[in-house]
Amino acid sequence: MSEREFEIYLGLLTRLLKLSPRQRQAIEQELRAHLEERLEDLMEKGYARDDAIAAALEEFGDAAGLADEFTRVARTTRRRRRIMQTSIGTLAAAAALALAFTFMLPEHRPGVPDQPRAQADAGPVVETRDVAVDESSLPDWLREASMTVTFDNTPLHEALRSVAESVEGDFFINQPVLLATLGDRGLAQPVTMRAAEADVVTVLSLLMEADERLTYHVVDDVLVITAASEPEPTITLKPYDVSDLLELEPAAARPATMQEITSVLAPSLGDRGNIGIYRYVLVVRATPAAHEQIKQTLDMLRLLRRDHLREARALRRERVEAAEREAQNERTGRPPQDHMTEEQ
Amino acid sequence: MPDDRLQKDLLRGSLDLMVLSVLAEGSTYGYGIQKRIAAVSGGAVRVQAGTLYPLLHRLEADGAVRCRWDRAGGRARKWYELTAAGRRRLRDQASQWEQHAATIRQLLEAALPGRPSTSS
Repeated sequence: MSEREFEIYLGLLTRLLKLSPRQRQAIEQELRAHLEERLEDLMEKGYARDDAIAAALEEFGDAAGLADEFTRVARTTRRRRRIMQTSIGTLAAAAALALAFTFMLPEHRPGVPDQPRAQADAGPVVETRDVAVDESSLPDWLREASMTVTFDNTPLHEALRSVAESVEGDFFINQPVLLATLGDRGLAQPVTMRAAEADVVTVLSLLMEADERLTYHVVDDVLVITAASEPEPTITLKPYDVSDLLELEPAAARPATMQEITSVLAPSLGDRGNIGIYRYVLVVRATPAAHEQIKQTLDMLRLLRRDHLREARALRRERVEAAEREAQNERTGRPPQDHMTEEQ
Repeated sequence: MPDDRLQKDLLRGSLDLMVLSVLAEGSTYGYGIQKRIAAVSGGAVRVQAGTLYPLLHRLEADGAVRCRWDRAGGRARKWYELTAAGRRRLRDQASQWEQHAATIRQLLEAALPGRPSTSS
């Protein structure tokens, strides 16, 4: 039993949480359990269903404020954890440095047996790519993740999986594409690497070096490991006309409301998208998945607005009718009468 | 409404302590904590859900509580349990609170003599 209003609220809240997908999901699940149980209790006490839903939601307050609170708590925790690591870690850090990475590549890459050796005189056998990663573009849950690595002739696909599983966010290993590009033997090539408390990003980059056909990127907050030949999802440009959401706003308040709508949508954008505001149209550059999320969020906002709209229209109608009655009364000279009040 | 504000300030100052006390009775989930506090106060104190959950998450971040997911009763809920650090914090805060209450009680007895006292 999950009320549509609850889902709208929770959807909005989780979109506003600047946390990893897993953290967002945990919060959503915890609050949903509360809302459902509260609804049951209120209805047992004799509340009408709609009133019970409204009362249960009201106890949570506005979604944006609550999302802020949760985000702030989680952020301070993360900072604290990092500080703890560095203070306890003087010894551990030294040990990790000393160990560094003992990273061995298979001498002969399966599938290309002779070519590297033939080139050996001319330069390095394995072409190393720049490991430097622009970390600023990576989400916190990936940038700050660390892991202990003990790969000992571990098949490449297992190594990739264990790295992906060590991060707190969602991941996707594009197995079909990897299999098509690297083949069974490529995916099974042994990897040896040892490191304590290593940055996951570094480990990933080193694995990518093991086979230049591999690559990873973060799309819509999901870590994707795939073949380098597979292009990143294309960014497309789409206009979203939101003038209907501003129907109730006085003209002067509309720019501020446009900003508000933009900030609600921003978390859905992922790291490569952006939003431009042109009067009452939002022009969004984003991946197809992000466009889908934006569409859903706007649908939610429209649902929320619809109720306000209905109330506002009813109010306006009442006022018009009252004015008409008054005009009528003035003309006929009769006092206002009760029975003329329309009943719904 | 000054009375209302005092009520709110009192609640803000003692919310951690209330939640820790409820958890000291045994592990429970967010809604259970809210219900327990409401019941003890005879319905006078309703901790808003929007206040309770960030507070629980902060206690978890501080290491005062730990949590686990449980399907007891057919619904997946996040259960909170006091840690040793949480118990220490409860004891510390309780003694501060007792001291504070004793001071106020003494002041009130002097200020309003003959008033029925709740202290025994």
